[in-house]
Amino acid sequence: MASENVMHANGHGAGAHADYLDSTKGLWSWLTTVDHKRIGLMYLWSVVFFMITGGLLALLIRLELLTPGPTIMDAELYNRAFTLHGAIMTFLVIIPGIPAALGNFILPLLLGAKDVAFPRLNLTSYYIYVVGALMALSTLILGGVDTGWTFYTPYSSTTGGGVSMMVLAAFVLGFSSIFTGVNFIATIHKMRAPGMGWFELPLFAWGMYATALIQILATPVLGITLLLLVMERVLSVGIFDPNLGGDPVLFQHFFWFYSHPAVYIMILPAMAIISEVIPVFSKKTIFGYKAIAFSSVAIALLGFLVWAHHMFTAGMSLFAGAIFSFITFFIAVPSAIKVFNWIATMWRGSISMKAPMIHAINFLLIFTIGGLTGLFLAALSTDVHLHDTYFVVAHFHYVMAGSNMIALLAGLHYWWPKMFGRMYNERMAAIAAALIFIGFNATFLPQFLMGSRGMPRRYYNYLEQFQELHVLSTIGSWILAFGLFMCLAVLLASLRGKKGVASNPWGGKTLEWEALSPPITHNFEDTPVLVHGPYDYRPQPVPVVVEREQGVTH
Amino acid sequence: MSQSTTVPSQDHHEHAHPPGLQHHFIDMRQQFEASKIGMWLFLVTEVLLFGGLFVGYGIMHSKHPEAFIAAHTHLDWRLGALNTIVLLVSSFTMVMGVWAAQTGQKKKLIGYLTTTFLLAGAFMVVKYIEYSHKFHEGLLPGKFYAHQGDTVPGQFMFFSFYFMMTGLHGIHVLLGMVAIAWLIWRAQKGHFSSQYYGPVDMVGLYWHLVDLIWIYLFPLMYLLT
Amino acid sequence: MEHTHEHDHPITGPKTYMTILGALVVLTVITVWIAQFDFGAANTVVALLVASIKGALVALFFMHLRHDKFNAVIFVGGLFFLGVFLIFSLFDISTRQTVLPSNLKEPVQAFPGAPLGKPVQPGTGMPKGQAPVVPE
Repeated sequence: MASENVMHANGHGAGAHADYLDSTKGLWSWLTTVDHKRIGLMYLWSVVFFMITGGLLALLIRLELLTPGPTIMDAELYNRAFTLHGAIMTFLVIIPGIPAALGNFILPLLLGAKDVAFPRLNLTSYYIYVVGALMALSTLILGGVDTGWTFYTPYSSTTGGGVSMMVLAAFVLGFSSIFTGVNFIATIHKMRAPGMGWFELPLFAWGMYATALIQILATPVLGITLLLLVMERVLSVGIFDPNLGGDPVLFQHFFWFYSHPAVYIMILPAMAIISEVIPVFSKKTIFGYKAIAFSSVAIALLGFLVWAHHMFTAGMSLFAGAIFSFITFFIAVPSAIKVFNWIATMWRGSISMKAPMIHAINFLLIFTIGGLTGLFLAALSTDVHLHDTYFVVAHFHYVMAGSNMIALLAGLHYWWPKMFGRMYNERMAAIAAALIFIGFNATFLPQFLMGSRGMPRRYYNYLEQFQELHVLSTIGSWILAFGLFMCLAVLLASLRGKKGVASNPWGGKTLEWEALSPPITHNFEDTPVLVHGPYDYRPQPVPVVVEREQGVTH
Repeated sequence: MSQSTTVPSQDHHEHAHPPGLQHHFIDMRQQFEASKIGMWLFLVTEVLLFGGLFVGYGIMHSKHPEAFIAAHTHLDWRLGALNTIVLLVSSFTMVMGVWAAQTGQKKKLIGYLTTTFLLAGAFMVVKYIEYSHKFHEGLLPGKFYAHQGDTVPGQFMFFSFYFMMTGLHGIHVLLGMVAIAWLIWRAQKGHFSSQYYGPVDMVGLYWHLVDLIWIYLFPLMYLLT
Repeated sequence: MEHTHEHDHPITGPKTYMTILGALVVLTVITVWIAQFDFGAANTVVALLVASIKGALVALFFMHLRHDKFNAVIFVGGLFFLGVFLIFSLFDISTRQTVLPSNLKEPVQAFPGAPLGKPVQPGTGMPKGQAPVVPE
């Protein structure tokens, strides 16, 4: 029946019914694929590669900070190492991590669609990412970048090295991010399965929608900011140079108009994953569906009104400082709404502590710490003392690194059987999750203490009184690294086994679990039609019969 | 324990596969509306990209009003007005091209697209005349500014913005010309019909946005008082 | 699923487009003509107002936004956030000199010793051409 036409439509022939991993063979078929699942996987491996690169840099930085004074590198190298660590982790790992890797793979499946709205744009976006990544890495040859990932003027417009190249790399990577955002919004609007209204949408899709909104509205401003910075370096246009009548603080406005919302590009997808994992492993309908869905959009929109809380000590006017501080507190409300709803979902649920759920609970703890310490920094008066200390470093690692990475791991463990049709060793995965949690907290909790006692960030040397806490933090980084490598090894080891996982090992209710594991190239044999909501865990007296086998020609 | 039942998709059986329909869309309407949303989102990113420059221009203008007003007298408003009219007419011929595509008139479509392309070329020629005049007088951006006999200092900043904004706009005009040339090529091959004209519509939207940005650039650059 | 009903509307014809082009040309003339008059601080506002009328005509008719409510929301949303960017930046830029801590009567000098409002060397804070003072 349908198969003939499906084959006809895309010319894959018999391959259309093999799973997407095996439908066509060879490297070239991967490099030219427009299948959202394959593009998602290519993103995933790239992100893992850069996470390892950025992580190794982090280990070197922590090792350098083991002792006051020089340990393994000189100060110049240290500046370059933390800049590269920040730039790689922000632009190459965290921002594309969940949306472009997991989102690409899962979103169309969740919606019951065959693909994203613009498959070729999707592949383009991946290649732009690769080009941007290569440009960023090429700064290593060009003499490194020592500005920090924020590229503040006037230092960035006067220092040497590969600043222009790194800035252009971030510009190029912005396009990749924009294309992903355009794709996701069009997909969510127009590609939903018949019968799937906005409130039957899985919450992951809501999170992706909110993320895409920010990617579209904020990224272009980063693009023009970075172009202006390059122009400032090449032509001395004057806009950010006080000597020429410009305003260096204006650069920070431009930069944070993107980069603060970008923080929500990092955390909203993480929240989106948690909203999927918690109901499935609590076997309960999500509590407060609409509250979680709307709070995602509220965070996305409110996130545009608070950027200058990064600039309280930059010489901004007090009037603006007071306004931005005031609005920043409102951001905490939708975030807290989410946390309370997740906890309410778990309450009296039938919780099974599988690896994805362990990661999700770790996320709840780490995000809560990260979120609450954010309030200290939102308050104008305390921020004056805590600004540019390790308190800030710890805060944003809790939110950007910890929450985002752990949610990524939760999603990866949750969808791994769907992606590869294989199950990992659950026991080992759970141990790795525990190690990551311990390592992460051991690394960054001491930094809150150091920061509140006045240890400034980005310093190469420090006073001896801070050494104990630095040592603790460095040891934590080793535990964290070990946990992450163990986690990766457990996942990769599963790939050696044979495919054979049931299509729905966790009992999920969203549409992706209707597809085979791994899915076929077109995801579903026939367009699925929704018969109940995404988190419907009420007992079902009459099982609904799936007639998938109908219409398949063998 | 299943979430859904599946239905065989009807479209594959009832219609032949229409030309121009990509496999992952159900029908032409879904494809058209999806690409239209995508295009509008892209236009929003363009607005914000230029918007950053406009905000920078506005803030620097308010900081140095005398320098900006003195500097703008070096521009010839007549050439700016000419280019405004050229772009407006090209926008008109573009929308007529979309209309010709909607009504399936291949010859008219090609005619209107070609006119639009030529008008875009005319815009770039005028731009070239203006630029070479500025280069000649040393009215250059940033540290290359070398104009003699200024009485008001700081005019280089105006020309920094002038070249960045009109330059970025000019790049968009050139990209638009490439896209229109591609449309002409496809139209000659007979790809478009009253059923399938999405690409004409999308490039049309892009072209109108380029026009729209110029509508704002013209008074801000050429007509300061 | 929402439908924008783009296809259900009658196709706008050449006559309407002709009229709009005429209006746009007239408005361009008005833009040039109006620039001769001095409205003081409102000059830019007036110029932008005329430009916005032209822009609205292009968007509504040439870009078909009057039949396309959903995409109109997208477009206006983009403009809204551009407005947020400008206005919130101005909160700082326009009040930086006027709002001071209550115990300060005049603007703080960023680099002690450097002349107010004169160019200084980056990094050192000293006037241009002068050697930086190295603190003990």
